[in-house]
Amino acid sequence: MRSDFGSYLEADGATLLRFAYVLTGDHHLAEDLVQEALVQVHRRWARIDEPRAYVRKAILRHYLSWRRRRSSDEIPARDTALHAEAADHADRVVDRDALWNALATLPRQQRAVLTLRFYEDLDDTAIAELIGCSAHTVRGHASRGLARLRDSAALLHSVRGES
Amino acid sequence: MTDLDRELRATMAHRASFAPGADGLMTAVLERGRRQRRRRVIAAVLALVLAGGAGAAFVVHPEENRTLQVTDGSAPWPAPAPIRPGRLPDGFDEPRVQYLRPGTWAFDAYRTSPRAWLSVDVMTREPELRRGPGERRTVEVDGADATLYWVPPHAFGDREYGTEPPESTGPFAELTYRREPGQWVRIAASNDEGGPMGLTEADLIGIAENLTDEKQPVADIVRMTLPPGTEVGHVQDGGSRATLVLVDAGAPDEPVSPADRPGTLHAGPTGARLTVLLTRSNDPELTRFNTTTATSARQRYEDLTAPVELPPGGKLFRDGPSVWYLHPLPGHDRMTIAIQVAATDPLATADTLRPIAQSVRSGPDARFPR
Repeated sequence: MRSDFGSYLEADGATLLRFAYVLTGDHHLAEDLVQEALVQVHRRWARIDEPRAYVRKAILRHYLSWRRRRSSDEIPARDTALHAEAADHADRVVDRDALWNALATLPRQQRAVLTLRFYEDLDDTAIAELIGCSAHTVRGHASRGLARLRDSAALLHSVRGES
Repeated sequence: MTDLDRELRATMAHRASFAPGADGLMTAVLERGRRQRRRRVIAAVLALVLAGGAGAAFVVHPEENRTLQVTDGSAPWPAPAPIRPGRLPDGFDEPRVQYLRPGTWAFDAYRTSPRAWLSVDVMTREPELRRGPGERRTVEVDGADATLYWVPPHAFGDREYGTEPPESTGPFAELTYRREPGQWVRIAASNDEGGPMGLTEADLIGIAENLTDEKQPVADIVRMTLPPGTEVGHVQDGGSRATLVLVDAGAPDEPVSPADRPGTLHAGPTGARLTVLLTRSNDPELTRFNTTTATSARQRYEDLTAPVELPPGGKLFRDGPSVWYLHPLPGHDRMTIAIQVAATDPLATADTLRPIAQSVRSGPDARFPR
């Protein structure tokens, strides 16, 4: 059983860490989530037929429901960061760093939905099944998340226009 | 597809290349599993020790059906933290108090730019000083000596700072001192992405010198009746997931552990007797109990992902060295109460755990989904 689990880790470990990192934006948290999910899988290896699906779901559930940090749930909006970075990247409406930072301001449900849609290329039905809600709710999270990112982009754009 | 959609795809694909590597993942997973098993064994051993001692009258016949002798009223809640932080450096969110273990409270705060985690831990016992590749020296806080441990910004993977967090991941600072007799403080800060954290030695000393003797209550998230001889040893408020750890009454105070770092999960108290988890009914920690009747791979997978199904009075599950009693959380259709206890503990019977579970209610500060 150990060798099977080892082979699975060798094949999927890096993929899971990339997914967790895009989901969380945090090296340490990504490692923490992946390791915690894999400990569960290892313990029940003989009973799990689709470890990849199980681990991905476990990572999501832990990310959404656990208080991984010891304090507040959400990372506050970072208008000051957008201002600061605006001067460094004058050519693009939304540069990747700013967009990445703006993602960090989203509530976790919204970020999870956008990660599954744009990084994992899943449709709303599959996302709903993974997160444990309806497709309608998924669309709501995606819509609000994208609107918030557009607001950040607009702010960045206006800052650059003024500078 | 909009420009924003394309940018998001590109950004996520680009950022994925910065993910931590999988080298050492196997070792980390096995070590983590070992640590979890070790904690369960310690809890079981402590329970056995207790069973041989003062609780003899209570535990002589663990197989016997008994009704729990519940105490009147709600559980005594942990005492408030004895201090609170004053003004923090610009950009940090409002810190909230957490009860880490008997005699130890923590205030955590986060800042997005420059990214930094910050924690102010206060405890009744002297904490262990960190050993590592950072610089350690003595500084002055309110006229008293304090130990400052400092790791400057550096690239992730810099050999000088090894492979163990917190030093390996980026800048880290820790200021430890005795604030008054019987009161120790540890202020820690980090940027686990490696860039500057925007905090100086003077900032940390400023935080220390602005602590005030104003008590801060622990969020009142769970109400329940405690089994005789236990008390609340840990409270973790996780929004839709709350954890309460009961320890034996009179358990000694424990200082914060070096493994407790800002921005990470912390270890609970040693000697945990019961863990009371309030979580969503589709939490994988619980849905694994759905697998008992599955006869096909597909059904097993569906069982693993469906909300755990319980009779109104709850149900007991055996899980290796642990026993779990799961019960619906009144007033919250999507939440379940899960009580974990060592299988060797005299409390580990359905008749004992059922009334404990039935006494659990969400507290006024809880934010569980309904």
